[in-house]
Amino acid sequence: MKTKVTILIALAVVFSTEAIAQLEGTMPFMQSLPQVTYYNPAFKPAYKFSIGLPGSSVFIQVSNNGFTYNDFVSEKDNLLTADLAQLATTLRKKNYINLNAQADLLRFSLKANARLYLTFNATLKMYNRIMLPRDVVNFFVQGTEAYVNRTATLSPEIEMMNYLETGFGASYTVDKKLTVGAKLKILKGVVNATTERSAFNISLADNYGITVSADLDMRSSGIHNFDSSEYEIQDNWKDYTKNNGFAIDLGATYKLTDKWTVGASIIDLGSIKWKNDTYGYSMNPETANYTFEGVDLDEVLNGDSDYGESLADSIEAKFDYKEGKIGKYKTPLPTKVYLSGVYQIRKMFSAGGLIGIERFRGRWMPAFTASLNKEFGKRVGASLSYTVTNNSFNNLGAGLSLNFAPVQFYIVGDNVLRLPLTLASEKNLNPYVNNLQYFNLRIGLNFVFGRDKVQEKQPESKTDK
Amino acid sequence: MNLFTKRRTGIYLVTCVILSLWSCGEDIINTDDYEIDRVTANPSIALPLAYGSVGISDFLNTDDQENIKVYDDGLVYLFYEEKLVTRSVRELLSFPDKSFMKTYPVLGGFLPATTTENERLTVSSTESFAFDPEKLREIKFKEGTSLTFQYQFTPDDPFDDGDPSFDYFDILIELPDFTLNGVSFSERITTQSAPSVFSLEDYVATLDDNEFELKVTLIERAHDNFLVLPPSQVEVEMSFTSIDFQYVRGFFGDQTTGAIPAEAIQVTAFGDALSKSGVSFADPKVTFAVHNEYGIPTSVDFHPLEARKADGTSLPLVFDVPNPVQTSAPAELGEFSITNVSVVNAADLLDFVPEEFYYEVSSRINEGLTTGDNFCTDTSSLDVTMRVEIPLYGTASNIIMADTFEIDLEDIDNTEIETATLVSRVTNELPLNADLQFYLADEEYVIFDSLFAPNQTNIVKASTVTASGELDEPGVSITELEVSKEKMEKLFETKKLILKARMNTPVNASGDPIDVQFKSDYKMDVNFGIKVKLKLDVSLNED
Repeated sequence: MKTKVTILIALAVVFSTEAIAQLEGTMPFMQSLPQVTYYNPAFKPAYKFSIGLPGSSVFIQVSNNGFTYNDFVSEKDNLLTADLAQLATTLRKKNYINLNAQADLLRFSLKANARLYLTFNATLKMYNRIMLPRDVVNFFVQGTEAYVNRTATLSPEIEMMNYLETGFGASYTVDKKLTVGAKLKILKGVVNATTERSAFNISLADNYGITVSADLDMRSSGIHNFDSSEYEIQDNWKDYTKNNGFAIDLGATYKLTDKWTVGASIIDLGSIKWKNDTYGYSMNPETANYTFEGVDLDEVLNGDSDYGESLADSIEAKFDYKEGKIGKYKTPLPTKVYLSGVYQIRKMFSAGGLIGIERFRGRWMPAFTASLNKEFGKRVGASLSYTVTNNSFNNLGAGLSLNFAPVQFYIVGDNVLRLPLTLASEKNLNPYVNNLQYFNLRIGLNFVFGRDKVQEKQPESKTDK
Repeated sequence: MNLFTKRRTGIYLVTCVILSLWSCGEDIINTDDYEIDRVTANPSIALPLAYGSVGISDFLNTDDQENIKVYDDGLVYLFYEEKLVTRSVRELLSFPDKSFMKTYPVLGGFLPATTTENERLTVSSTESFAFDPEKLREIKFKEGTSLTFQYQFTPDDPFDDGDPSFDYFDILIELPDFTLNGVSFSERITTQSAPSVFSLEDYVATLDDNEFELKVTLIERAHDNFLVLPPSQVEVEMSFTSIDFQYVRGFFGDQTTGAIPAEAIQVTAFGDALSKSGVSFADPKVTFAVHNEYGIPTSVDFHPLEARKADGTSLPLVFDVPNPVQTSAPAELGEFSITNVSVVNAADLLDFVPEEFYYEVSSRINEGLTTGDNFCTDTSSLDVTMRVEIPLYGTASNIIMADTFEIDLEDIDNTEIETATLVSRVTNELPLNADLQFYLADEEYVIFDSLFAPNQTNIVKASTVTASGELDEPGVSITELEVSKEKMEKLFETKKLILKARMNTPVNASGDPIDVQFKSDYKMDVNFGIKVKLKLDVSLNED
């Protein structure tokens, strides 16, 4: 057992040093919260009925896998100095910076019968990701010499997706061991910016000749209209109902033994078709390439006085940037897979492990969380977690739920535990912020009714009988 | 711990956290930590400066580009062709107007009326143009050549009052040797009141050393009785005017064209580069071609003919034949003949590196001859063309090429530059070594330093050559020329950057120059780049 855990942790560390997760590590273990079904539709809320009003669950997540402030800013000679060379060594090949947010507009869950739970949620989701290649910084900070016989990739990638999710879910207890769940989500896209293709590569040859090649296919929906000063959103809001999409969540839990429960889920498997105000920005990779080896001596020796101008015209023609209206297009959702395992150490006290993998735009992004979860009676639930992600190992998370039915308050986050500790010791949050790569927090207030005691006593399957 | 105690503990913890955050207020983030004073970086910038594939033609003077030629084997040569100014031989053949006055007797007495015409008198004679020294045997007249006749009866024909009905005598003029399309010249002159003018255009006169036959006939027309008062005669005047020819045959005599003013041909190859260098061409060729369309033995006299420099020194050209040069002549009308003359001291001539060829040309026909069968047309010419062919095969040393660039680096903070390295990559198929130096000069072109140390300047390595001077292996040189900080500082003070290249062909192991060939496909591929290491320390405080 110990060996398996060690291997699991090692794998998680390896994966997570290369990746970033837009995943939540602590929240899936907060079993007393109705929102736990967001991570596995087979999870069953702890209350027979709960309802969340607008603002009942607000989530914010900030992360980057590239650097912290302390990586390149330090005091030297009594001056606060930004050492860009140090920054360049810190960055990863691809640096993803995420700002994500969610807010429940309405949510409820209902235990329909001993086996069936029904859930509903209307949630506004915002997902923003920008990818900055390390070479963007390296190329300018370290200079071009480092790229002799190499290629610098300077193309950023932007993903922005705001949408309204309306989900209808159900969790069905098949037997004492197996519970399955699913959720159908109807999506309404609001705005989108996506990078289908993006390349801006610069190569240096032995002779320092610089070859630049570019490729671009960026699309947006619901953004370009705002370039016009005459555009009024209140007159055109119906346009923003045209972007339809669907997604599903699937999940299951299985009770291996009295103490071991494992779960697996796939979340947000779906896409949105964008039709409103679709606008594209493109560059043709067939022509967008040019090699500059310096001034052409042949032209100089031949006395071509227009050489400079013709050179500029030639480059401009090759890198002809086009923008304009485009047709409808489809983007996938960031799909997540959660594999969880919970070991019931004692009654009301468990340990859990979670591997979360997000796949979006061809990129796999795993994260690993280990947690300890304790129910202090019916009123207080708490979790402590440790998440390895973003190439950082100092993400101590915590969650706390206060259950004073019918009111339930909760606050859960990853890499939040250092926050009060830093504040207590340093009297400000600077040391915390300066080392911050990954942070998320979910906070809210639910109205809960009827603690489901049967949770601990699952119905038997027909075969059990 | 009972349930109440646990609940109280939890509430207490949460309250502590919230109160801790709240108590920090505005100081929860110390913004001083984010007021960065300076930004540092040490980029090393590598940039391409220039590239190109340079052939030998690129090194030659722009003015001479049209003179660059290539032999079949690829050897490049400079070819200059200049037609020398010559006095036209045709100018020697100018024929003056010629008049002939003939008097014929007319018997007096009573002439009975007649209804028919009668030839009263027919006289034939041989006339001569008497051109000197030309003795023409055939001439085809050109437009403008005219023949004028006028006759006069003495005493006057009493009946000839201008009214043709009373004009009883006509004159028939016949020139059997003058034919037009096979028909001899024959004209009847019917009035003596005005000259009769005829065009001789396209008539061919067949002469016997300028002589031709003239036949005059007095014709009595039908008339009433009348009396011719004795003594009586008729005077006939025949004039050839504006005699010009389409062609002419015969013997044109021993004549010399007048001397023409001296002429000079400028030679600008290599600009000033060669004049200050040691250039030796292995096989230059200087020839003169005399293009002769005259069927006349002609000699051309070049006096003087020499290569000159601006400093006044000169070198005479020596022919492989005696001067004056006897030229060949075409055998038939419409043909031409070329006589080539070579200059035997062409190598010395090119080593002399002339700036111009200076010459004076005259010509002489039928020198020492008294007879001959000459011919020429009105378009015939005798031209002398000088051809200079300089195969780029030989040795060269100390060829210097220079150019000046204006630079202004005042606005750049040179303290940010730690080091700079000029990187050159040259693959050279040309058999030329080159030293390169940048001289730093002020606004007045006063040089105060050079960019590279003396041992850094040899950045182009010549190719190796075979025994015949052709390419064996290209010379490859990759040079990194580090410019010291001190030099960099001076570079930033520079206003004029003078690039000077000194080129030499390779030498053998003994240090003697090797004859090398420059072929059209020999290229020097060059790439220049620069590597600059910067030390950036940017203060963000406005103070």
